[in-house]
Amino acid sequence: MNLPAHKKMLSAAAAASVLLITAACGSSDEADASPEPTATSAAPTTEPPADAETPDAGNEEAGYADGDYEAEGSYTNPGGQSTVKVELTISGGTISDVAVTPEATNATSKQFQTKFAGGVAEQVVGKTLDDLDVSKVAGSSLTSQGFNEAIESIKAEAGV
Amino acid sequence: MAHAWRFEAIGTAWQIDTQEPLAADVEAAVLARIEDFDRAWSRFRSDSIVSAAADGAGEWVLPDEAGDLLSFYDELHDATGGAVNPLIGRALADLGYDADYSLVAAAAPSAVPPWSSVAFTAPVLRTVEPVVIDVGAAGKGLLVDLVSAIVGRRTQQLTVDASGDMYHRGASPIRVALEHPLDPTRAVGVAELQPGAALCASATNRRAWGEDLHHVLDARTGRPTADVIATWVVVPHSCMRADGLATAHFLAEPEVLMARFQHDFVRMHADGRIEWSPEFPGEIFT
Repeated sequence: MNLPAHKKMLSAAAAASVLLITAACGSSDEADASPEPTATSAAPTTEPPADAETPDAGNEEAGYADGDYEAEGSYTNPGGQSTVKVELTISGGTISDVAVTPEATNATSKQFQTKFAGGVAEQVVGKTLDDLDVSKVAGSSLTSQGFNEAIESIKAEAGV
Repeated sequence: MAHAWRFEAIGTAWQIDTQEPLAADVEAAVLARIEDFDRAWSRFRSDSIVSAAADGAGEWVLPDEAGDLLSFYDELHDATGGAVNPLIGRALADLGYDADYSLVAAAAPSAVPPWSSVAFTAPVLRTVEPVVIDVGAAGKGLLVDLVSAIVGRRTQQLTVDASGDMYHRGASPIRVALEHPLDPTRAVGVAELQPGAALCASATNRRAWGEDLHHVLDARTGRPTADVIATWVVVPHSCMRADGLATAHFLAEPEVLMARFQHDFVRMHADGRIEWSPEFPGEIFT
């Protein structure tokens, strides 16, 4: 069965989470882990704007200048020093594309980084089941008659 | 596969696919095993061991599968900082998910007792106060393993599917759609399940009964989780582990779980964001 390779389209939230992950698996005392933009002097920040009225972590677009950015984060792990390269494109104030490349030199680090550089997508699109050649569907469990009846009676009582 | 046997048990739909129809004695053995499991572990029936332990402290003789199940719960509890804890049963019932399906949340749901407050030395569980054990995080997966073992004695090729928790053994992989948690006519991806692999799906959409009320609780807060709305986990050989890890992905960061447990995962957040492990066997439709 042929399956396409995993896409590496990531989102703004993805960039933040990848960097957090990098920090989390390092020894966290590194001063050199901060990504440095190379394409523009406007340094992007992975911190969301401090705005008490918008606590959502998704609101990170404010203050980013358009352009291509490239940064490396390094950290220390049991296998030695490791780096990941993060390339991202900002257009219209939002991050439109991100690629994360592990740059580990030894096998152990590479394995760890490959795990951490898993796929992320901002908004999953999906396909209709009719278009898929599958033999099973896996979602939440179908629930029992008792549960479904209880839900129906609550809806009736609530008039929804 | 050519033959499908469908039935309902432990509150959900089951389907067992085989090349040939199962013999009557195999079907009977499967149903008897499920009944034994339910009589021990169900908090929805008054004659279970779990219901007896909910009424008072004591020493409870648990069935053979308790060793695997409770030691796996130890691992999950440890990896999630206590977020996975089988003693969530009373909090879950107080929130409305009780034996009568009252689906009405109490004003002040019970706190979850610490997992360390009970002690298990096979086959005896010792409790010092009434506790409501809920093995919903991994119990159904374990039951899939137990049923698969019975069916597998007579046939090499089988797929046991307990409504999204499944184990597959056969000559070739099967393709499984990952149901979109907000739209059951769509899939967010497809998993390719190799022979010998288990897949478990968990989502908060169907077993939900009100605003922010569903069946996946964080034992540290006693409240339902909010950010993650669906997870899928693939594990070689163990549906129990796939099931428990599908729950754990609601409650812990992926890098913590990936470092500790051999598995692949997909998880989807309430805002539509989706994450997956790089070697997830399949495709995500982004």
